[in-house]
Amino acid sequence: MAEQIKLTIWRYNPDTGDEYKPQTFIIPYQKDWSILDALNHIKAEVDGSLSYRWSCRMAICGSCGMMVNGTPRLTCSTYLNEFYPNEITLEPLANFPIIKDLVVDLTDFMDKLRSVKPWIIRENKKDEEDTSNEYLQTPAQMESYYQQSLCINCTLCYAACPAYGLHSDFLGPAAIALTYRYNNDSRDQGRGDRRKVVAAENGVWKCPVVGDCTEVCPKHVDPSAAIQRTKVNSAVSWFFSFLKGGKGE
Amino acid sequence: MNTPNTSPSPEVTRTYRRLIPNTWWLKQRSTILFMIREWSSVFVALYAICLLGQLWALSEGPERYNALLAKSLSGGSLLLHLVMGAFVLYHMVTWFKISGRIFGSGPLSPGAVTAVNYVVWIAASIGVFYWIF
Repeated sequence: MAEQIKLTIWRYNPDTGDEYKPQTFIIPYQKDWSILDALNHIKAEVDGSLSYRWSCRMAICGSCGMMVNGTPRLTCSTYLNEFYPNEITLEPLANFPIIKDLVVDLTDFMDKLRSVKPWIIRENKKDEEDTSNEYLQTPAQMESYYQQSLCINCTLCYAACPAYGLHSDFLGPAAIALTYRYNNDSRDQGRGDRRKVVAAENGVWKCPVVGDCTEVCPKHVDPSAAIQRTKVNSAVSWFFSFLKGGKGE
Repeated sequence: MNTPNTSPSPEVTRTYRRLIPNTWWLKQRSTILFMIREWSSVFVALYAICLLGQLWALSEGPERYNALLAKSLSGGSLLLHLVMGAFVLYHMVTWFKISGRIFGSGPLSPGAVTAVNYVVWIAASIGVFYWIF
């Protein structure tokens, strides 16, 4: 008999009531299959109603994040052989509302991402439209934000973050990491705009420094460090603003 | 149970929201260690209060200070100080590690930043020791 592996998938169907329950699938074990391959097998051969997101299959698009045995992982880069012969339990990403099965509603994240203006801002708006200008950077200037620019918005960090789980108004790890990325870009002049969001009550100060966001990041962005550095930058900005006679912003 | 998270978008109806149990932090080692660090703050505060109490007794004169010192040598007090000391040490170690993560970049690695913290701590402790004795 061919080797088999057991997958328990937590499912929710909005059309059949508010039940959120596990369903077990026993499928053939292929040592070179990712969990996403296994889900595609279930969808194609066992149960076509299973819903989940995926696209690139190479840890670039960030669509296929799920809780794998309780840890947020990209299922395209997580392989069955890591767990075999043990069972694998799949749940939708934690801390987000579930739309159906393994698909979660990311609207809250998208709103937060938009609020930090994750694009290059120029004081002179004509600069943004003028494509003839070059804004040169030294390798050192690029290095200062490169790590955070690797974020693929997979939201694994939000699923790992207890602060976001308990306080959904918290801006969250990826949005702050991207704030850090643009604030440290020598071409950007939008730090003041973003400070109003990240230094606010629901910004960086809601982070209690658990560090799990960094542990689960598939791109090694280190959101935790970005958040703590943003705290330091915000405190320094506030201090100098206070010294200048302002209220401190 | 804690408040469930995030409202669904207007386009999405009948989403399912999982409640977070109060024991959420017991599920993972990292969150257990995090909670120990958070609770260790209580012992840091207690330690600070003890030190302030000693300073106050010192300002009141040698008799008051010696009386407090005598009380501090009781079994219960020694046990309390041992527990407080352990938690303060844990608190310090975790924050030294975190400071490496915050400030360690470029030529200064996280390990180097943490090492600098330890060096400053040891140097300050030796300085205080010589100052007192």
